[in-house]
Amino acid sequence: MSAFKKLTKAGSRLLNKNQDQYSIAGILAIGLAFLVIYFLLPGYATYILMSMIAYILFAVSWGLLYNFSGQLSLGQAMPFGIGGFISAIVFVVFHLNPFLCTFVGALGGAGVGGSIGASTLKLKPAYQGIALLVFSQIFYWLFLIWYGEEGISFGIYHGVMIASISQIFYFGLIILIISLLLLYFFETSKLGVKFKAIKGDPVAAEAIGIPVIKYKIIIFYISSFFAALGGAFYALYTFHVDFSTFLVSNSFLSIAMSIVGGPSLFGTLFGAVLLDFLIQTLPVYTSLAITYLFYGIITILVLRFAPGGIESLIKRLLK
Amino acid sequence: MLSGLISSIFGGITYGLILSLMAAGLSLIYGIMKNVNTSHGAFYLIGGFLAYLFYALHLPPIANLILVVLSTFFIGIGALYLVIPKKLWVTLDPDEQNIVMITFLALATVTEYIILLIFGGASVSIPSIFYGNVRILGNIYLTAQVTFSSILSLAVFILLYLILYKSKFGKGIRAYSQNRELALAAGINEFIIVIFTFGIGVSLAALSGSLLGSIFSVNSASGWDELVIAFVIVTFGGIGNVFGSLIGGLVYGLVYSIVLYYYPSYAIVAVLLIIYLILLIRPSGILGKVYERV
Amino acid sequence: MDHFNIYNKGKKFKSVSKVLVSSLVIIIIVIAGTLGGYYYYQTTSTAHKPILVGLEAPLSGTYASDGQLVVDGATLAVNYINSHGGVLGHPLKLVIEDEGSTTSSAVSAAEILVEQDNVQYMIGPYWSGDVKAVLPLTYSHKVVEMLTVSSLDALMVPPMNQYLFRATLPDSGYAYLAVQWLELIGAKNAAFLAEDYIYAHEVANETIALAKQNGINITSVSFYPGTATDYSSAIAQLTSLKPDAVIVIMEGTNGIDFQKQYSANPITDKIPIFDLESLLDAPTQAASVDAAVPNGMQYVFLGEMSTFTNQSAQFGTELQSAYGISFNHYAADAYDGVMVLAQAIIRAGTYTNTTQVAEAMMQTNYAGPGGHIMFESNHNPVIGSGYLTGTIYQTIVKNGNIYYEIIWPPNYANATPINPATGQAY
Repeated sequence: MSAFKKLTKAGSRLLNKNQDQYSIAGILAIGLAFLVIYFLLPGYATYILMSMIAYILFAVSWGLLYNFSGQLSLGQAMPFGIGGFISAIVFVVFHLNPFLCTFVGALGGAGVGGSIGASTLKLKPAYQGIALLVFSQIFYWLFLIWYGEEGISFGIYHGVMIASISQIFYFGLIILIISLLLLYFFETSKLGVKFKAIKGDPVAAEAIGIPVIKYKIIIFYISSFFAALGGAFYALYTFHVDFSTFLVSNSFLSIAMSIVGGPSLFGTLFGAVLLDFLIQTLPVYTSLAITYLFYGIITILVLRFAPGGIESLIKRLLK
Repeated sequence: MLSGLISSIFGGITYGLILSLMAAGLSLIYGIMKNVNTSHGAFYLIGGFLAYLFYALHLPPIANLILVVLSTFFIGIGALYLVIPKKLWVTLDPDEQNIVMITFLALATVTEYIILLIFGGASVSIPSIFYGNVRILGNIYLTAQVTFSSILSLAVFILLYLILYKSKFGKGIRAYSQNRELALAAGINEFIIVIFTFGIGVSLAALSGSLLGSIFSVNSASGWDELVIAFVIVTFGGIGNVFGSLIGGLVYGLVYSIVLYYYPSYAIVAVLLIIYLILLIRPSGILGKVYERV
Repeated sequence: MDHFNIYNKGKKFKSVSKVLVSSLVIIIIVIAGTLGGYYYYQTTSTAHKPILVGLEAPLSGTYASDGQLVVDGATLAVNYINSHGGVLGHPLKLVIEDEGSTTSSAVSAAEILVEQDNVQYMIGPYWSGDVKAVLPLTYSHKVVEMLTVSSLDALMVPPMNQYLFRATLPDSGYAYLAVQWLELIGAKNAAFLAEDYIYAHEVANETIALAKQNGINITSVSFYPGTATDYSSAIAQLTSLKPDAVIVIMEGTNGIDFQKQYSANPITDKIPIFDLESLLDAPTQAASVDAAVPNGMQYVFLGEMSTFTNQSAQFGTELQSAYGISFNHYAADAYDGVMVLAQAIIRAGTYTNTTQVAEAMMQTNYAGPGGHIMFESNHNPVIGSGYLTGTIYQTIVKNGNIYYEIIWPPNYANATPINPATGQAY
């Protein structure tokens, strides 16, 4: 069969699954909603949307690692921040196209995050989580020493903005939709099912011939890529990155968003949108401290009473 | 120059000694719950701020210290009871362990922001119990408060030893952490053991917090560095091994102060890297296999 | 078979509805939320008449109290201007946003001010690092920015400084103040310790250069992370080095921790120390040092960023009656910043053409409670006697109370400096 025929056959086979049609529609609808808001409310709302893009990628990356391979990372801010720093450094040193720098940052973060994650594979879950937290702290201190509290600011080059906000927004929307689609197809593919088997029962999975170690490593790289992509985009639209992106509370944001929303891709997406929206808008009415307090309490309540997240509550309602 | 280095080392050992209290608490909790208390730093924070609060209420210093320990004991028990469902208190299932760790992390975040709301972001310094200096040798001085804190820490370790090895309750803790089924079969009250150990564990963290808060200062972001350092110390000494924490604390203080003297900025990075490597190579800790596990 | 098909159909619809509903809910939340936020901003944003002046300062976190002082000073200026006819017939209106304690929150605050509230004039940000991060936004929108706390000279470089002006002592002024102190106490060498901020590095370099020109040697320069609490190694090095003087830039709690450890050591306690930028100028913070180490604040020298003029005393009384606070450089410089801005707008004859306002700013010749301000070509204020110089204090502890004595400049001094080693005047 020619390559073209193979592709269309695979494509139609994929699209034949009913679930897929509606999930893809759902993802595209979200993109549409973002566009609608962007045109309806120009100005500050665009910044809220861009923050959501960055945090959706961040939260989804953590959810992938946790729900798909059962690995707990308490230091997801590490690939997020590395993505930001590498993209900023590449721009400042080489002055490449800022969007290209974002990808370089994402790849760099994937490499660093993936290798560090891979090195923790043999540890028990408790140790693994802490080891990753320790490493995110290492980067916290390193980047504080190297770039100070001021970090790197890179919005203007030769007196001109490196990219316009609308360009950055469209770019972000495109990478968000593509990432969500990619992740969705990955999770529902045969490969994705194999990964899920690892989470359920790694011993049994090994027994039926799934290379557990290799797969766990792959997931680390994939998860780090999306976290780094989120981090690089965050650095891009704020034109800034500093050591505070490695704070534990930032790692915790990705965890909270995924837990509160729910384990599926849509659940985490929902959690990210909801919590990021709260973090952006609540401080206006109250204060930043109360906002973080609020989302910490929500996470505790969800874990205690509805461990499946808001997604499980919605599912229960629909039954 | 040498006197400078020695002075730095004395300071570092004291610092490590006080933090080893917190690490011992972490170790105790792990021995019983088989899980890492990721909110341990929050109790350090609570200790520091309670000490400040009681100082503001004009309590005498020694009473202040005792009250901080007692209050944290009960706060810890209350938090455990409220936030973690009982069936997850002691579990070996990795998924459930993850949930507990995440919940503790959320608890720590909530605590940090409550403290931020009540006290603001400024650092507070708690007045010392003892003033003045103690001359060690030649040019080297330690403040009286630092000396007192070191002696107190050692005393608390002796107390811990007595409790763990000479009391019935301590025997119960050790039996439970070594073999849960056997201990239950022997009629040990699981609920009491878990609750009390958690309370003692977090009180130790609070004691560290109040002592270091008087030597230095505490602010709402304080808990996290200390949590990582406590984990560092626990890993040196072997997780679950209470007295390994003492050795671990001394080693940490020594290494940290030497690196601090020569490369002030990189000290913490160097120690963190060492700990990361230890975690990879020998997660049971340097001393984990030498000492009998508590 | 039929039964099976119906069952499948039901399942299909269930999964359809689940996904659809979830997506719909997400979309509704996103739209409702941003619409809500937008309308909130609309109802609280102002109508056309007043000229909006954005203000970014830390209002939460460790430096909230200082940020509030900036707000207070600016508010006093705005009230004064509005009660005297406003600017070109329009009242001024301050739009205040919390800079927060991270650069991210500073950038968010600036985004709100510039994109949402459409301010064309701005006071702050407070931190130099935040000014740098926010500059792309304000420069591209031609917002005239007045710095009343940030001191980094490296910011004042074309083209980015076109709309950027400073009404407070810059880093070169800090260096000038430090060298004045060294000469005042007759030190021939000094050690320099600071937090690892860009501006501290700049002050160190400028101090070393200026001191050298005056025959004074800065023999050691060390930087510490802003999060450090343990300075025992620093103190230990100083006890071996035994310099004539120690210059320190330690903000916030680091200043407190360092001073505690410095005074607790009997050797360094005798070496004169100059706190160039520290919270110790706030009596409560100084008191906490003194509570921890008795006489911990005895004979400590402080460098203050404000410069007294014949208007300072009057301004101090106004601050006292309006806010219950005493004279401080944050409020004074913020006040001056707003006044200078208003005068420039009036001079330009327009408030919508910020380029012309920026040009008119260069003709500023203004004397206010914080000093006499004229601008250099790089938009920094002029430093030197008669302009901005800063002030040197020394704290004396008597019967458990802390007294702040002014020992420089000579025309405002009310005491002579005392040598900490001897307890006698120099």
